[in-house]
Amino acid sequence: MDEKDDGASHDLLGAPPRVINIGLEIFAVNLASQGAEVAHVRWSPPAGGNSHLAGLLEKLQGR
Amino acid sequence: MKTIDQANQEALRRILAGDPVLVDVVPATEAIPDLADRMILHAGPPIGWDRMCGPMRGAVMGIAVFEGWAENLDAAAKAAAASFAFHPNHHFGAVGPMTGLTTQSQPLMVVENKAFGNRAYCAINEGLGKVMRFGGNDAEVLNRLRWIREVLGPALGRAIRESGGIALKPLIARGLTMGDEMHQRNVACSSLLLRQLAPFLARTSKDAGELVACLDFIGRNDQFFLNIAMAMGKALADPARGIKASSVVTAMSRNGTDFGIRVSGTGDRWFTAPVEMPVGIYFPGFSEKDANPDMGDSAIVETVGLGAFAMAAAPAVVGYIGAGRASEAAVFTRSMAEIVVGSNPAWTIPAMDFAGVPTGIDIRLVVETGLAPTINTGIAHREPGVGQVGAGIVKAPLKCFQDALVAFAQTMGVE
Repeated sequence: MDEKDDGASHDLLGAPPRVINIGLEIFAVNLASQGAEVAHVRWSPPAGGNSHLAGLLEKLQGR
Repeated sequence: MKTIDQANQEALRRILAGDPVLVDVVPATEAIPDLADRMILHAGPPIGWDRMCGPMRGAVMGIAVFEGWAENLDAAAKAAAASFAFHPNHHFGAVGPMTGLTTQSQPLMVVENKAFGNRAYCAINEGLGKVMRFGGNDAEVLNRLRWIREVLGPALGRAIRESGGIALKPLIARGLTMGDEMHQRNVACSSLLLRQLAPFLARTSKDAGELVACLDFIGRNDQFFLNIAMAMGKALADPARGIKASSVVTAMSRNGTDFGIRVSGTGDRWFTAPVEMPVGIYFPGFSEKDANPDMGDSAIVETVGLGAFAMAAAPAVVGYIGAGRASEAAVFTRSMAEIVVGSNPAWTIPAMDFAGVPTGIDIRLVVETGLAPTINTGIAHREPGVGQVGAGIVKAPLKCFQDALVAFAQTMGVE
């Protein structure tokens, strides 16, 4: 492991958490309710994880 | 550019190129010659009496008495089960809000798309509360319909013809800058329309009493413009039907039992799923226990980029329909922008730096993202004869779009 320390790790551990939450929004909501700085990114698997529909979408991409 | 993208750009081009003009009000049989005796056009995808929800049945019973097909509501219910023919408005170039019934003797507003030459029709808005479109069917409701048929319809027809027609695209553009989204908020466009029509109503009215009654009825109804916006939506969307390889939605509609969509590349086939219950705010004395699942052809306005798609233009409506804080209005519009082909530069939203309303729903994007189109809506009581009990929002069922995607893929040779 590179021992070079530019202070970033100290900031990460010492400063209040700043969070990017991807997917399940409830984690972002809970963090925000405790005063954490949080940005939520809405994301879900293509077609909600339905492999048949996701496969159709992929094939249609070439058309 | 790939085939599907090209086809979708063509669908968008046709929607944006439309030039809808309110040109007339005529008896329904004149607008739709195939509209026969004891034939009822309704909102949503096809449905028979046996599966109709309470307010739809209530409206059917009422309209049968109104048309003289039955002496009373009980007789009307028996006749409806036995001998009436039911068809969707959409199959006849028409649309109707909520129950959306269209029958022979009603006056229909006529919107002509001058760019493509097609016409679309919608009955005249009856006002709020206990009205037939929400399942109302008592003497007050029927008498109002008779007055609309015998006085308001002909008077409006004369005034509109005298005016040479009311161009709707610029009127809606103005309404968007004044806080309307054209589904649950039409106060600006109703006022702008009345301002344009009033001199022609005055010029063509038979007497002062008729003029006062017409001006008073329109002036007291903030939703008067809704039915015009719907006919306009239908007139704009129809030229985008039947484009090979296009995955753009050309109609969204509900009958209180089923939600249905049509997609350009799959022709006029309906893709249906059970309709969902609106989430919203109820009038005093009513609650979600009283509510009927969503209904109406009015989602045609979302189909062309208005309603919930233009929510950012109408922060005041967010509170009325219980959709959150007014400051969150733009969230709805930004969200809907993720499932469309493009935006409409003629219809812009000041609060979004004059961004165009999101237009041209692509079923591929809906299925991929899981973002169902949001629709602003009124809420009807689930029992026949009561009427409107609230307003809210509803999501289009994803299943319609998933089934449509499978069928669309087949048309593209993809299994």
